[in-house]
Formats: sequence, structure tokens, C-alpha cells
Amino acid sequence: MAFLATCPNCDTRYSLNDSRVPVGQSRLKCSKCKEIFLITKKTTNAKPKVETSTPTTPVQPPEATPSPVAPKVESPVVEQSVEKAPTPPEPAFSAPEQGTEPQADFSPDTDFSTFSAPENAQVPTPAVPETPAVKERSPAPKQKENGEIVVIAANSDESITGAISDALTKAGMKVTRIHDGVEALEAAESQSADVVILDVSLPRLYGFEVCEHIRDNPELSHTKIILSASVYDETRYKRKPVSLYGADDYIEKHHIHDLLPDKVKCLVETGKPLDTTNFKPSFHTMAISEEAEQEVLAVSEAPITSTDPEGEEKARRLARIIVSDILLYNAEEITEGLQNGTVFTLLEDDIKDGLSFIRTRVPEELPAETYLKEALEEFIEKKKVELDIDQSF
Amino acid sequence: MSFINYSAREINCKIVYYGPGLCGKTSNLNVIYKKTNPDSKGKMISLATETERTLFFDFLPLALGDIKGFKTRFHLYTVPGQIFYDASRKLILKGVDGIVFVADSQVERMDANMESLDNMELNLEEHGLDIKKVPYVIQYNKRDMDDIVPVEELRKVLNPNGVPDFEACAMDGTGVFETLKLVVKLVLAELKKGA
Repeated sequence: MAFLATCPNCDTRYSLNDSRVPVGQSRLKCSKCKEIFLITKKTTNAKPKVETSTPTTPVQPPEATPSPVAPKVESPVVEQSVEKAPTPPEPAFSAPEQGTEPQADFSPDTDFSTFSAPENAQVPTPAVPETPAVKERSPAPKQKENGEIVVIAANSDESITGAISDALTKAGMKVTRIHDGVEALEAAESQSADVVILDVSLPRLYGFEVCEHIRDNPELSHTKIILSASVYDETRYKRKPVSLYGADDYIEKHHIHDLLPDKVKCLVETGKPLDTTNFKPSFHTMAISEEAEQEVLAVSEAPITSTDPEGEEKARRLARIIVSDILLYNAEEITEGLQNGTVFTLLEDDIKDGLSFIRTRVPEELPAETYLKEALEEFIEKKKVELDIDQSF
Repeated sequence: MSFINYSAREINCKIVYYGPGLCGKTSNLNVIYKKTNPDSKGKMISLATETERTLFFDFLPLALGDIKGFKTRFHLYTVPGQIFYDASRKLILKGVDGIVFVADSQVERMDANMESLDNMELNLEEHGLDIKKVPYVIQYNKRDMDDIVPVEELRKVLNPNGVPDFEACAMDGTGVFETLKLVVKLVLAELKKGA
């Protein structure tokens, strides 16, 4: 069985021999860009869905500046076992889900202002958190000790909640790890959380819906919310989000260790997001034993190609570039075609070339033609708005 | 790889202008051609269509000074930027001595810039060349357009290694010669290393 991992720096994907990857957190060195990053392997036994980490060493006061070098954690993080409603097991490595449940792409890769859930999305009902059975199992509200910052880290990917927990626990914060939107809301309410860090495409209740519920709850008026990218593709050009849907700040996955603790503190202490204008990322590696590092470094293998789980996104990107090229080189035809309703006829040859080309780069099992068509329609819609043309084709 | 003609005492160097479609590669060469002393330049060959699409390449020879008694002649090439013509791009990179990556500063072309940059690195690798070792400069073109990406952001995305870079507006000539002079300087420095 293969263990899949992705380099957060260059996006290279690796398929590792599962038996050689140690359980827990390990460090992996990318053979392409030499970036060292964290991977997490779960045990074969089911883990509780809610895992709470507390600082393993004397708790630093929240005001303390986090150490510039990530300290080592010699033992696994402490997990608080809380009885939860049964949930299906999750894959060891969380790739963007492609199941029936709609996934909202809400990463900084996306222009947040244009975000909307898919039309056919079965948006989980906000009534879910009121399910008595779930409520009864919720932990009682907890007293904050020594003014410690209480954080809920909600992400469907356990390696992300692990990284968040790791970073914030070292900064003296109390972190509860959650993997589902409904549970995230419950935990925020029951613990009167100071900060909730939300993945946007959480199962059962989208992150932005959790955000709405928190905002509507007067008892959580002090709670600050940080959105985390649900999909992060460093190879893709990103723009700053223009809307955070009521959240106070956002974080990209690769800045969890070097930026998140400061972001959380800044929100709690000042109520405002951290100004990162002059932020320079520092090199942090996640804490694992040297032995585990050697073990994992030894099993670096060739990047995945044909089975690349992100192949779909790459294919879509390629489609966008092809269409962008076609339109760029045919500006006059586009204008004429849009006005006369003949745009597809005028571009027929170029579209055919585009299709032939994308077929040479995209595996057959992916619907390259559909991607190209969608990209073309999207660009044409934009162009129609630019040209103020109202007709549809 | 520079070609040395001992009988003519000439060193021929190849500089390739690389970048996504319609980013301004040919415009760079046009400006250089128009503003260069007629004695220093050869005929500019442009295999382009009436729609300005470079189907194969543009080529411009330039004479620029001597090294140890050898005349240096620079051959400037552009590649077809459109994503379809990868085979041509790969061919033109063969034996390259210096590269100018012309980036289109417009927001809507950022994906294309990144794709072109990745493609360039791959094609160089296929020729056994490492972008970190080839004389290389970046030009952020079309700075006069409306919806453009700030230079700091362009640097972050397209120039992580911090190679020399320039802002330009190739249509009116801004930044074109600065870019050329620096890449030529880097190529000459490389030649002198091996001289």
C-alpha cells in the first residue's frame, strides 16, 4: 500500500512505501526542491475524531514570543479522548475530495469575491448542530486556565490539524483538533473558544457556514475566526482574498508554523489581523526524531505522474492557459464572433488545435475536452461582460 | 554554447527571448533592430504571420565589441510563446548562451507566465542546462497596461532566485536596452571565465 505525500513547496507528489513510513509525524525531504516538510501517518487503530493538544513543556504565557526555531517534540501530542458520533474513517493522506459531497474551493488561490457553492450543492443543514444526541456528548464548557488562549483547529486533514496544534501548543495555547464542521461549531460554543481556525471545505458544515453561526451567536462575540486554505497549490498564481465571509483573517498551509501563532495572538490581543506586510518567512521544520527523518528520507521515490491526484487541477490550469492563448491571438475574431453569435465557428480551428494539444498532456481518463470547453465558456462570459454583450449562445 | 570561428576571429553567442504568447518578445527585438547602428546589425528574420504570431522564431544578429581580438556577434532569437509550439521552443533553446524571460505583467497572464517559466526550465534541462547556471535575466513587460501585477509580486512568483530583472514597456522601448545590455554583460563574463 502506498503512502501519498505532496511537497508544499514545489507541489511534487510522492508515493512512499507505506511499510517504511513510521507512524506519527515524520519529516520528508523533497528530492526535487530539497524542501523538508511534515507528513503524518495514522495508526491502524481508529483514533478519536477530536484530539486535544496541550503544551508538553511548561506553558509559556500567551504573551511570550514563540521560539524562532521549532522545538522538538519527543512524544506524540496528548490526545483528549472525547466520545463523538461515529464518522467514517478518513484516508491517511487527505487529497481534495471528489466524492458526492460538494467541496468548496475556498483557497487563497481563488478570488474569494467570486466564490459560490456549486449550484447542485447539498449544503449541510445548519440545523445539524442542534442534534441533541451530539449535543449531549459535547464536553462541558472549560475554564480557561491562566488566561491561556483556547483555539479550535478544524480541518478534515489530520496532518493540518496536527501542524496547527503543534505550532500553537508550543506558543502556550490550548488547541482542540476537530475534523468536521458540526463538531467545530459545537466545540467553539462549549469551550467559548478565543480563536477558531477553519478549513473552508469541512465535512457536514462548510467553514463559512460555521463562521456565520459563530457570528450569529452573541456568546461568541469575542471569538475570532481564521480561515485556512482548503486547497493550496503553490504553483498557481494567487491573489489576496477580497472577502473572508465574516472571518477575521486567513492562513495558507505553508505558513502554519511561521505565521499562525503570531496571527492568533494578534487577533486575541488587538482584535485585528496581523499586518504581514513586512513578513519574511523563516525556515521551520516540524519536530520529529532524527531516526524517523532518516527513515523517511531514505524512502523518497520518484514523483507521481499518471496517478497524480492533483492531475485534474493541473489539467484545468492547462485548459485555461490554452484558452487564454487562443483568445489573446484572436481578439478581433472574438469581438466579431460575440457580436454575431459565431464565436465558436470562428475559433473552430484553434479550439481543435487546443484540444489536440491538451490531449498530449492530460491522461486519457480525464475529460480534457470538458475542461477546455468550461475554460472557454468562462473566458467568453468575461469577455461578454467587458464588451457589454447580453446575448447568450 | 558559443560558437567560435577562429578563421574569422569571431565568437557567436546565442541569446533567446523566452516567454508566454504575446508578452512582447518580438517587440523587444523590433526595438533593438530599429535603434541599433546599421553597421552592427544583420538582417532581422521574422517568421511571423500577419497576426504577429511568431510561428518559429525571430532572429537578429548584433556585433558588440571584441574579446581578446575576437569579434563577438550576438544572435538574438525569440521563441513562439503560444503554448502549442513547444517543439519549436525546445529546438531554439539548443546551444543557448543567455536567456531573457519576458513576463507579461497583466494579471490575467500570470498563469501563462508561470507555465512558460516551468516549460523553459524543463526544456533547458532536456538540453542538459541548469537555469541557475545560464546567464539569465527577467523582464517584466507591459508595465504601462492597466490591470498589472505589482513588481514585488512578480518577483516573488517568477524570480525566486533573485536574478537581475527589469521593468519594461517594449512597445515604446522602455527597459529594452537595459535588459539586453545586462544579459550581454553576463554572457561576456561567462565567456571570459572560459577564455
